[in-house]
Amino acid sequence: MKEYFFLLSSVTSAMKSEGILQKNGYKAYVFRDSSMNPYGCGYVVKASGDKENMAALLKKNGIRINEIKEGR
Amino acid sequence: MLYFDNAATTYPKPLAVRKAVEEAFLRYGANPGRSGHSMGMETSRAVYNCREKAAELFGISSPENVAFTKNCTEAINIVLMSIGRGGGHFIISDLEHNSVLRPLHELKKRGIIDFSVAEVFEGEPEKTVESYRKLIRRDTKMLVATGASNVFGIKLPLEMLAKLAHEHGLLFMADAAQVAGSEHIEMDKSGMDFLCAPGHKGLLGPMGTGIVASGKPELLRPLLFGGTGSYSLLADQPNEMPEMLESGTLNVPGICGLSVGISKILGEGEEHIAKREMNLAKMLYSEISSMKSAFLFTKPPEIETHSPVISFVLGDLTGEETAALLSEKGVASRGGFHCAALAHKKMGTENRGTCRLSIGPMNTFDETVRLIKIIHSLAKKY
Repeated sequence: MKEYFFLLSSVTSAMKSEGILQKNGYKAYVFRDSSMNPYGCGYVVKASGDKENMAALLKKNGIRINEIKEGR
Repeated sequence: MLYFDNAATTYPKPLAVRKAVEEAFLRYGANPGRSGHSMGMETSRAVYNCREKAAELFGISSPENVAFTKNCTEAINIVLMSIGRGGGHFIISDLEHNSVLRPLHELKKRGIIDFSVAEVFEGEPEKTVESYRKLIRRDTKMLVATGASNVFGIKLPLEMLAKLAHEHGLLFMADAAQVAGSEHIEMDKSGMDFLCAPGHKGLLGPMGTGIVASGKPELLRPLLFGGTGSYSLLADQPNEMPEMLESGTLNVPGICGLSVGISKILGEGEEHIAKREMNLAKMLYSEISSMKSAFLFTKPPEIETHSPVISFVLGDLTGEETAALLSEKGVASRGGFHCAALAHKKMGTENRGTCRLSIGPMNTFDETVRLIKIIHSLAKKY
C-alpha cells in the first residue's frame, strides 16, 4: 500500500487529520517537517491508503491540505 | 475557610486537576506546536486533547474552532474587537459584566460603533427577548448576552436570543463566564456564533485559562500577532484557526489542568452539577430571607432562571462591609460592585454594592449549613 505525506501548516490540523484518518481505518501519524513546507514550519501526516479517498475525507472535515507528496 | 466566591473563580480545584498541572511540568514541558521532538509532539497532543474535550462540551463539531485565551475577558475582546472593527450597532443586556461593556464603550468612544442596552426581566425570558428585539436597528450587527449575571445570578435565555439574532440576520455572542460547566450548551445546534468562557470557573481549570469557541471563525481577527509555529516564513499572521488567535506560547500546565476539569464535567454532566449547586443556593436563600436584617435583591432562585449566586447585605451595611464581617468569620465572599456597573445600576445597588455568595461545584451541604449559622449570628447584631 502506498504511503503519502499530507503537508499541513499547523499542529492542530495535523492532529485532527491523524484522528480522522485513524478513525476511518487508515494508518496515520503526525511528525514535524518544516523542510517539506514551502511556507516554513509545518506538520506532516504520513498515511497509507488510497490518496484520493484520504484527501476527500480530510477536505470534508475542513482540513486545508497544502500539498500531498508520494512516499515509497 | 468556607469558600463561597466561586463566581470569581472556583476553589478548591479538584485533586485530579492539581495533579494534571503538576504532571504537565514533567511530561509536557516542551513548547506545543513548535518542535518535532517527542516531548514537543506529546505536549501538542495534550493541548489538542483539551481542545477536543472543550468542543465536545460545547457541542461544536470542529475542535480547531476552540482557541485558548488567558481568560474569558480576552476571549470576549477577540470577538467584540473583530466584529466591531467594521462599525455597526450592538445590543447587550443590562446585566453585562464590564468585560463586555468596556470593549464596546471603548469602540463607541473611538467613534467606530454604537450600542444599546436591553432590559432583562428576571424569570421572564420572553420579555427579555422582546426587549432585545425592540432595540434592533437597520445597522445592528450583533446581540450579546451573559448566560447569567455575575452579581445577581439572573439567567438570560441564550438559545432564544441566538434564535432572535439569526431571524434578523445578526450575529450572537454568549458570555458563558457564569454558566460554562453548569448549563448544557450546544453551539452547533443552537446556532450560537461565538461563546466565551473562562477555564477557571465552572470548568474547574486553573486561572490563566479561557476559551473562545466559534461557529464563524472566518469573522475573527487576532488581538495578538506573532509566532504561531506555522507559516513561519511569512510575515502575514496565519488565518487558520486556532493558531491565528494563539500567538505566543500557550499556558500548557493550565490547559492540562483545564482538560481534566472538562473531563470531570463531561463525566458528571452539567445538569447534575447545576442541581446540586441550586439545592444549596435555595437553602441559603431561604435562610437569609428569614433574617430580618438581611436584604436580598432577587426572587428565590430556580434552576431555570438563576445561577447559584446570591447577593445580599446586612442592615445598613455596604456589600463590602458585609463581606468583611463574613471574612472575619472565615467566609470567602465578594463585596462591592463585582466589575458590573450595569447590573448594579439596574438593581439600584450602585451606592452600597452587595455581598455576593456564589456556590460552586465543590461546595458541600455541611459548608452551607455552617455558612448559614454564621450569617444568622451576624444578622442578629444588625
